[in-house]
Amino acid sequence: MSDIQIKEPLIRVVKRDQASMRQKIAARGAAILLALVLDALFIFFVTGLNPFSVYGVMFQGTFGTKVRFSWAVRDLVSLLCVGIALAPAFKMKFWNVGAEGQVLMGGLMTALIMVYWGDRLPAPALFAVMLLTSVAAGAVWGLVPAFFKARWKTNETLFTLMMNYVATSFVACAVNIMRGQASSLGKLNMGSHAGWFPTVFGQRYNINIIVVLILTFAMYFYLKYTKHGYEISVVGESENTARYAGINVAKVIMRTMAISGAVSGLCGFLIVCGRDQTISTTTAGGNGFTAIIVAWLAKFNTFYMALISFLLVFLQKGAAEIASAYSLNDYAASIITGIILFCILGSEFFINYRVIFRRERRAK
Amino acid sequence: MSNLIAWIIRAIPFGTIIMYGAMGEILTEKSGNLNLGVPGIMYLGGFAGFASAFYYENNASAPNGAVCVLLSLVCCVAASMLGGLIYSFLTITLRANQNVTGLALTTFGMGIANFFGVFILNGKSYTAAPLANSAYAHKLPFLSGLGAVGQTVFGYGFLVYAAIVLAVALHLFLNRTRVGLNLRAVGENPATADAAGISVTRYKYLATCVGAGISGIGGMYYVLDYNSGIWATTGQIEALGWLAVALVIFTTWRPLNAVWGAYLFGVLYWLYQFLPSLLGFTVASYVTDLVQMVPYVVTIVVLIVGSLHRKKENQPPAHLGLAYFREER
Amino acid sequence: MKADGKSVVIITHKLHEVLAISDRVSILRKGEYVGSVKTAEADESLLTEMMVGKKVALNIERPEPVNPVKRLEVRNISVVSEEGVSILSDISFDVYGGEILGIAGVSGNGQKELLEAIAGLQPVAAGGSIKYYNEPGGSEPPMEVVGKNPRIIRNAGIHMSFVPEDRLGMGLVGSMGMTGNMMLKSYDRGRGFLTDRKKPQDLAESIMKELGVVTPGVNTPVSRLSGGNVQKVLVGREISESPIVLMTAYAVRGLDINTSYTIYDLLNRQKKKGVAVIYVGEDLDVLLELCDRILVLCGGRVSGILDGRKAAKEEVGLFMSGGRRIE
Repeated sequence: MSDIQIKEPLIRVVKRDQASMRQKIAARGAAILLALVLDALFIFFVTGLNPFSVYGVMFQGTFGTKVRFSWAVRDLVSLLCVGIALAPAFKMKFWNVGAEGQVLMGGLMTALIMVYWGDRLPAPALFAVMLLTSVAAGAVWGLVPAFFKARWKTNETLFTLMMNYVATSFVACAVNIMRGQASSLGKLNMGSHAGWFPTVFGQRYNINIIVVLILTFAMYFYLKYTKHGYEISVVGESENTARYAGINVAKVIMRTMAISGAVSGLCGFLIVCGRDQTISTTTAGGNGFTAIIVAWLAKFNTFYMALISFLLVFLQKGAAEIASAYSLNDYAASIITGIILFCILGSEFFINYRVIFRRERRAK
Repeated sequence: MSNLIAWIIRAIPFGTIIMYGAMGEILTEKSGNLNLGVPGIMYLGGFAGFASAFYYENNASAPNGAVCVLLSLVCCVAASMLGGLIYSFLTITLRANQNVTGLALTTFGMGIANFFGVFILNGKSYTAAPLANSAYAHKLPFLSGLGAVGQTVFGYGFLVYAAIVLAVALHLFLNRTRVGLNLRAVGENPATADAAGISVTRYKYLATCVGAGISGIGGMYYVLDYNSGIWATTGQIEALGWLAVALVIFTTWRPLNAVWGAYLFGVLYWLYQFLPSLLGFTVASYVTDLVQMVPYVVTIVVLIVGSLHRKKENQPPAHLGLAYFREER
Repeated sequence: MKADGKSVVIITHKLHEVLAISDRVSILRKGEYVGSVKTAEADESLLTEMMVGKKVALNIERPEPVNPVKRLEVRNISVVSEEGVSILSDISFDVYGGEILGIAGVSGNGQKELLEAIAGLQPVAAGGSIKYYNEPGGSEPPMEVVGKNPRIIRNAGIHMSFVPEDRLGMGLVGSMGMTGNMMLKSYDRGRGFLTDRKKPQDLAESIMKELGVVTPGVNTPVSRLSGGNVQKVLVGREISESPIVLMTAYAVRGLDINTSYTIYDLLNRQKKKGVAVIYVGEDLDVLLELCDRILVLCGGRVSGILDGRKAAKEEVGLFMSGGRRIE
């Protein structure tokens, strides 16, 4: 037999069978480390400051005082809530980019009821009506693109994206009407506090925290242990397999998006009643988009989502702190967040694939 | 009548901004990459173009308009392509999820532009690069003086016309050249293209980076021409970026459609301001808020109609949004 | 082309093809090069030994059908594709318990659509009917399958199992482990909101043992398993439902020799239990060794139905290309 020289490429990429937990942690850890280094370089070049002291200040942004920590948790909870809303949709591979709009519609309904019926209903009834209408509004907002996807395979990424701007428009219009002659819409029902969450343990938004905590467990449970959750997994994997199993794919798509939209609507309700007591086009605050990244990185596990949301909120608060401390501006948060996200996204590669370098071989 | 002219004069430049954004994204999406980072890239391009012109204007001894234009174009395209490169590296080489990467890029680009913008602003709420602006907005010398027609057709800065030329060039490239055909194959079925010997990776990288460069010009046009050369910390570019993404769908991925589609969007966008006075009645301001949604609703309708008929020619590239891994063929 | 001086490389596992037309044979096993022989010096048993690693006797049992009873009556099935192309025209045949009915035909002549129509996954044109006999010759009337989707079919008490051609894309959920896949058709059972994982897990473990599925565990995603093991999981699950009609499409395509023979063995055991087995295959030699009757499809029509023990290969080939036709 002749000598056969095998020509191997310098770098080969092979899909990994299964990454061990250690490998996963190592990859993620390396990513965060790299991100921190890049960020430190960025901070140094831009501000000439010692990165460590800057990080120290960032830390203060969240952990500096009790109030700051409380605010951090409040923002964490808003972001996490949307992430929880996205989990079932993403698990089904339905790319719901419309959470921003769904949150706004929920918040809008809440605000409208608050303003126009605030003085006509007793508090418990008021909350019930606000809750139901915002959940319904969010559900409808999610159901429309789902219907078209289920029936005619319309691209859901683009559809839900456009629905965001339709929702923004509705909110702008309503805010315009509600503020009448005033230059801006302040807190609603300032006098009667109708529709405001009562303060629990000192803050109105603590109710938000409790509700989202419950939701975290509930969604995890729903996706992992229920028949619906199983159907979602199958449909997400392959529509053919779902049909083969006798699953009504259209029904599952619509039901899941109704739930996804509903939870987003609930999020809007929480934000309006608990956090802002008002509505504006920035009520969702970009959480609809950030939550996509959170949900994706967490692989739809709601507990991981909580961790990742915390990391992101920590960064945002830290950047705001840096901005005020060093007279920068808090867009630095976007840059830092962006770098960390890039690094984590890049690390996914090393978890899913192996890189093999060339070894010279001679084979018979 | 003057209202109509005023409307058109506003609509066309507006359309030009999103035309660049959309054309770049069409090129990218034809290769199978769905780059939701277009808003971020437009920020990067807009800022780079502005900053370079600004520094040149304020630091050169005898600043020249043409050099301004050249410098800002080069910096804009370079910065935008860099953004595209980040996206490409993450999604093509590292096979990261395209949606999430694009959104991260949007956050990042907006952050970079606004953050560094603050340094230039130096405490002011806005700052300007007037020389660059006049260079870009320089109208055709004789034709623009020709009354109404002159104003509406010939009265724009050169980038407006360049956009139309670019659209035609892009159309010819995609549909009449071999390279364009290869690119379309990569977006429709990368496995087949790979088997035919086409370098899928190279095409995707080039299409995404060049596409990003084109989109970035839109951002720069916004700052240096449309906005009269004024830079301020803003969220407007992001909104324009998403409108450009909507426009891509509206055009069913055909560059020629981007021309009239962009102008149509421009007309729709300014509808609320000009239609009432044109028709002779006043409209409450909250109605104008509702009118803002028209371009998006129109796009949704296009999406639905497109999926109803499922005509092959109107579909997005079959492998849009999916990474390609040879071993998984 | 060979005469022209060109090099031709053929990749196949069909030994008679190799022996018939090649000059040299190189054997690969588990990604490694085993050796090369001149075809003139090789025979089936040598090649098999190199492919599998040990001497194996390769023959397929064919027990005589005992008490065959009619289980499926297929009449006038026609399928038209979305674009209006006719895929199946007026197909009619019967399937009996205790026998293996082979379906032969060049790939793409409607085999996939036929099985999917019986499984309830493919809509058929009006006038078609598929009757299922739970108690043939007994008191119960046959049940109509056409117009029902898989879930309704199951709930109506029609015991049909289907091993599709596309294993990971239709028959299994790649990202789930064996346990998750065992649940695919039964997750809906039981009242209540929650899924029962205990029974599927037990089933998964017993299949793993009985069929020798090589996997790190019952919860490892099945997409990571090798082709043969994937098929074992799929066939194992379908058989565990104790079907009365078992349909398989290209059950051994792409599988190694050992697993292929395991599958033939499984099918024979089902046949002996009285199950009506439908085997869609492309290897004529296997069809002629395994099946009791062979139905040949060509151009979406039934070209003929032959006796598996008496038919000659040429005859089947002729039917496959539309040569003769039995009216």
